[in-house]
Amino acid sequence: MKDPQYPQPPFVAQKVISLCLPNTVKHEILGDMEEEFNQQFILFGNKKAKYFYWKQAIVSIFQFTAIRANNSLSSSNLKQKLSLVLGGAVFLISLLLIAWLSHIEGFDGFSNNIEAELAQGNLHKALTQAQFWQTSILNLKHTFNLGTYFQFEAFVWAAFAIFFINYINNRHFISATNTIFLLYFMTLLPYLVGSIYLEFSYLSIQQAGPLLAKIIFSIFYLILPTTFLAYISLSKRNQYE
Amino acid sequence: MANKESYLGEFEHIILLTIMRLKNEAYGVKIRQQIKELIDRDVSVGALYATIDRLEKKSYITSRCGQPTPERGGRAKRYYTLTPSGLNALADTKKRLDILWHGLPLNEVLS
Repeated sequence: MKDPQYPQPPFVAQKVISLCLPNTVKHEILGDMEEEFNQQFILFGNKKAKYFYWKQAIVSIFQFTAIRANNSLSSSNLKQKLSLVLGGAVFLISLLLIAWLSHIEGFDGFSNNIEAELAQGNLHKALTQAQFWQTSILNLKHTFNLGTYFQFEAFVWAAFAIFFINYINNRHFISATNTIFLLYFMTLLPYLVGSIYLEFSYLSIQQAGPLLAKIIFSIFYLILPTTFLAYISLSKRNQYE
Repeated sequence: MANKESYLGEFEHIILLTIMRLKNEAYGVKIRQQIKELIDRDVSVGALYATIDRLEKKSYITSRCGQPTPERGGRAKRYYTLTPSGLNALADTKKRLDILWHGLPLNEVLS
């Protein structure tokens, strides 16, 4: 279908466009640019037409790449995957913390101040200790008991949080972003409040234990429903992006 | 409650209006030329197609292939037309902008 009466656009620029632009638009972009190249050639000559073609090629590749990168970074698709990974990681960590604290016999192999840190609500400090990972995985494997994973107060809090978010969502139709923010806030609220309380109450590890349990169990119960609801909200929003 | 999915960005708005103006003749080159002619804005081919791609995904426009032509190196033109949801999005945007413009004394200030 090539016609020898029409000049040929720069070959390298054409190849670069073919390589850099997605198949969905490549054909149309190359066609449009060649048509305009011919118009420029007739009006202004070969030099200006080539300049036009190269300029459009470079600008288009940069703009198209930037727009697509921005779209994929801000898209709900990426957020969906991130929320799944984060939710799964938090669930596993809280499971290991429960397995560890439920059968804890001492702090041998841990750093000296770990007991004080835990009594102050700094549960995350345990995650930096190699001994924690070893002990908790062993506990999970060898001493698994379903009853270990039930804590009444945390269960009530989790049920209330889910009911509350559902109620707010049905009544006020809050946006997906606000729903997700609220879900994570309700999941982490016991940890925030508990940590602040323990920081200033100077309890021993034995006294702090029940509160630590409530904190971890609240996260444990809420993180999977939170992740699931966040995933659903984001996939609904994804349909419109 | 605000209907977030029908919000149009400025460039999306411009492209939809141009496609509407061009009726059955809306393809890449014509859209770019029309935008340049009417509002003196140079649009790169890449920026135009990135937005067209997004508008098609949102189902605001649909496309059909024309005949291959020699001045396009044997490639076919792709013609775009507005879908009913594209028209609704334009109408919604216009309504919102009219509300915002209503009662503003811009004409007095300019004159």
